[in-house]
Amino acid sequence: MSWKAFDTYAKEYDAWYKENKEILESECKLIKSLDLKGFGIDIGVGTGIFAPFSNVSIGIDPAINMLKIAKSKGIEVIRASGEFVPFREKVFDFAIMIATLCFLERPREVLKEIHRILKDNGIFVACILPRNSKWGKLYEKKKLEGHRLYKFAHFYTVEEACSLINEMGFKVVMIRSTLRQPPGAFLHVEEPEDGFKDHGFSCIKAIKSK
Amino acid sequence: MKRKLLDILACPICKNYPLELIVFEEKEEIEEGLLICNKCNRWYPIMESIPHMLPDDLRDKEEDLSFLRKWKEKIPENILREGKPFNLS
Repeated sequence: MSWKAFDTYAKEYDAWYKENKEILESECKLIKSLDLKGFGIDIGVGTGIFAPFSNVSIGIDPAINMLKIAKSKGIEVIRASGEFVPFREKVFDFAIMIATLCFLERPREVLKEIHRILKDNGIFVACILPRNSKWGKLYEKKKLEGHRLYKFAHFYTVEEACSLINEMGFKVVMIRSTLRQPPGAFLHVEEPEDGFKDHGFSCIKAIKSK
Repeated sequence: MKRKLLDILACPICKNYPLELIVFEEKEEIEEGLLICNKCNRWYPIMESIPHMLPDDLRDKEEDLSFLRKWKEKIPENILREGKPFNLS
């Protein structure tokens, strides 16, 4: 159960980003550029580190120690699982899932729930760590070495994530990425770029279509 | 938890709404309380202002039971006796 590991390392999660400010800032710039509007939810909100940039009002996560940190930042949070989302149907304008897809044991069930709670034509964004990138290869290596969090992950390529999202009743309309600089040599904050070319962080934007 | 949240909440398992809300402690937000699904009889605690709405298999039985014991004077009898997934009977 990967979320239990996240709970154990809740405090270290934000600390890592504090040490890697340029990475965090590049990712936040990308998320902000998506210009998400209306009533939004973060599925797998964690410590809420991206919430000010995604414009979400609410977050869910099973990891309580992470949620307590998010709550202290003023985000409305609920301890819940993505497979069993505690909301009525068609209430959200958008839903975002950041670096979460790779940790889901039953991704189709989670996407089905997101589809259910989104309004018609609602927006779904999945930000992933693409497997087929220099960063992805590093994560895969760490996973094989038994990294405390990555050992639970199943990393996707952008293509795999897009076909999964399309399969679950969404239509992918945009891919935007950041982290072109390779791991270990990350020197400056990056501007987001459309598409995917060996980036370490890609956001896939889709519309609820049926 | 803000009261307004109740307008969009549903039971995570059977998707019934509205849920019944019982408030035990309230300051700016609901600090401690209980959400009840009157369809499937599940109950969900609100602790330190955070609603806990996990599926049955991810819930902590001991934590849930001590929550029921702590607030038993304010919890409806049917939940204490027959509430899911855990109760005091």
